[in-house]
Amino acid sequence: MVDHVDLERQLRRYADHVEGAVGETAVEPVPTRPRSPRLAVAAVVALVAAIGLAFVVVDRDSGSDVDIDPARDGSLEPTAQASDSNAEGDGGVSAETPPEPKLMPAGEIPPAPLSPRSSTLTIRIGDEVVVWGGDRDALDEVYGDGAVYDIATNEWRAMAESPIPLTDDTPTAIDLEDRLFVSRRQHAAYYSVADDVWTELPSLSGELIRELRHAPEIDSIFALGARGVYQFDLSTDSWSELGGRGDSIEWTGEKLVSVTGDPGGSFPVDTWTASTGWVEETTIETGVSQVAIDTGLVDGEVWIVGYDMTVDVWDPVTGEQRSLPPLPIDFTEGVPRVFVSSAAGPDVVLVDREPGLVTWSGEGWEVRPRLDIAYGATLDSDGTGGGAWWGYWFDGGTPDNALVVSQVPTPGDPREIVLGSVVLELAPEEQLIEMGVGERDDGFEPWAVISAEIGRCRLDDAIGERVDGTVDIVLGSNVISVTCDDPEAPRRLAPRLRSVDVDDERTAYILGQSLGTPDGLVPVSTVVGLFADTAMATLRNEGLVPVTEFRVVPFGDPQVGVVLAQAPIGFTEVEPGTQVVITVGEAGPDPDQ
Amino acid sequence: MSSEPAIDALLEEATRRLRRALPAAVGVDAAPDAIAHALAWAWEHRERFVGLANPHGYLYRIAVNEGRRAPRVPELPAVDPVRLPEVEPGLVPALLDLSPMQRQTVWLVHACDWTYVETAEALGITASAVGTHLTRGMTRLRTSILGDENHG
Repeated sequence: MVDHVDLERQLRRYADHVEGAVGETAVEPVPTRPRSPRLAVAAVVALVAAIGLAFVVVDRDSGSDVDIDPARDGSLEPTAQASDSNAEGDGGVSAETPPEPKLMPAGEIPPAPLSPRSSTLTIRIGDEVVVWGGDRDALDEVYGDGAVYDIATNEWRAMAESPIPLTDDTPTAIDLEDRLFVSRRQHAAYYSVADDVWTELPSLSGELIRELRHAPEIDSIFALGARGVYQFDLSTDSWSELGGRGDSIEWTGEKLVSVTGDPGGSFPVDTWTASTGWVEETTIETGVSQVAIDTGLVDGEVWIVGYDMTVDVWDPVTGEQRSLPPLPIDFTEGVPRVFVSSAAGPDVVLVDREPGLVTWSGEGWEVRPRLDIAYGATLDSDGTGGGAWWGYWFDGGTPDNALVVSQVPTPGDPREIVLGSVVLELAPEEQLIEMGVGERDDGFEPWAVISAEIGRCRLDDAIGERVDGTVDIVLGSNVISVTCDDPEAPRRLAPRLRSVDVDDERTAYILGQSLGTPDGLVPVSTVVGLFADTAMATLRNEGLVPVTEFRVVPFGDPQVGVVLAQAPIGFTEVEPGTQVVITVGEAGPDPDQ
Repeated sequence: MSSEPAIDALLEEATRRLRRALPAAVGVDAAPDAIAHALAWAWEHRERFVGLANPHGYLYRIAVNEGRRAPRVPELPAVDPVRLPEVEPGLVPALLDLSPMQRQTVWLVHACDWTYVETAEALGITASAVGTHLTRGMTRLRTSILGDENHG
């Protein structure tokens, strides 16, 4: 029988053999190679992780039901792949092919060497994320500095000073594989990530660049300005003025398409090629005074999102038009930013407010839960994560200063989700759940949407407590009783639930679908949040050995005597007699003495 | 080697440790290139490398990053019952059947004797996560091998 010790011994012996196999090949340091050509896609980096997971976070400030999106079933589904999303003057990027997926290092992301700001250029190049520029309206400040985050090493480095003058416009960029084409207002420059070198380019005097589109077939970048369309020749680093008009442009691979909104209720559609110049192709009638919010190329067709969330599709080859149902987006409080990205997958529309991410199934619009409350819907170029297309908020090292580099999930693999700067690792049988708190006369009742199938369920072994104006959900035990209100078939479940504090205001709740415990092993209960004596008794009852460490907390803090952390974490299945280290809050000195 | 004995010694040690640690992540064939890339980085950034608290974990990450173009399931040699009579033939398929994170934690901790902290830094995860992956990985290994025994 293979016991634990024997298995270790076998692993070591096999490793001896494998090491010898590697050692038969000479290993000599090679001269530093040039960086591998970066895939010509820029994944825009988001604040929160993969789409398709159940929405998670409870706002602990809320005293009533939290208005959050319905949970999904916890399965991760790639939503889109290579993003051919287009750069806009709001910080979007253009993509060609998807980057290889890269695991996000779990744990804290170190603070960026940048001051707090928003509306940055945020662009992922391979395993690095470039964050540059931005502004801070509250202080009337604009920034010209930036930093590059290395995903592999979890480190930041400051960028060289940019020649682009400071303006309060969100920068945008095109990834040209060996360099970035960065623009801000009427200025442009190349930036080499590998060499950390900027190269100033000619500017478009008096213009305001609103959109960029890369046309690799003709080695050009098209820019839509306030006064017309321009072509930047990448071989000569020079601009040409093309004239024309438009609210949004799109490059089909053969021609430039420009869509203009008409107050009379239509979209004139023009095209441009070097040989034909501008051609008035057609007019899409919508009946509503129009502005083209954004366009996107989806399977060769031009999708046009209009001012009132209308969506029209025009085929530049056949000239055929069709209209889709309007986007299910409430714009009564103003028109949101909309960003169309096909990303070689389900057709995607990103919106900078609820619902955040909308996809077209072929029959109707499907709404994905919005993961990033503050900064807009997100979509990563490999289809599993997300990117804030107009930048995101840096808060100088607080939990808001965070990145997400999504992971392509593989069934059975643990999954990582980033909330703020906290990375959660989920076991395959775990899912983030939506939690809410219902106010009752005698307190608060926690509830959760366990899955789309089961729906809303009460957590019978949890208590909602109001503490200092916020509502905390205290879990009574690791395995809790859940009663789900199904009008047809009420069910009782006994999932395992654990919580992780994301920051001072948010807690993530993770539901574990128990797979049963292998013979001889015992599951470690989640004791975080329990008083130390209760926690120790719980662990001893499970045949485990609690070991106590202390962490100083302020005098009088409610966390005195409470378990703040444990290792191994809850759900871990260990052998009886395993030590479980619990970190308990210990009161600091009395400030009055 | 060079005229810098301190860095030479570190690189020799790093080479030895990476030779043993990397195959479970990138496979035997890809390991030499990955190691060479990591060593080149270490040499080029030797001042920084020498100052690292966990230089081998750092190089491991660089090497794995370089070797990520290798097949997702690394190629490991089968167990030769003549050369390795004390090793279960089912060990390698069971190892390859683990998730990458489980395989790497099992390999680094048990096959390479890396500490939880070293392993955590190499994999970019927390030490407690190492424990989680390790427990699950070892459980799956035992289950897989026991299953082979039961049918063997």
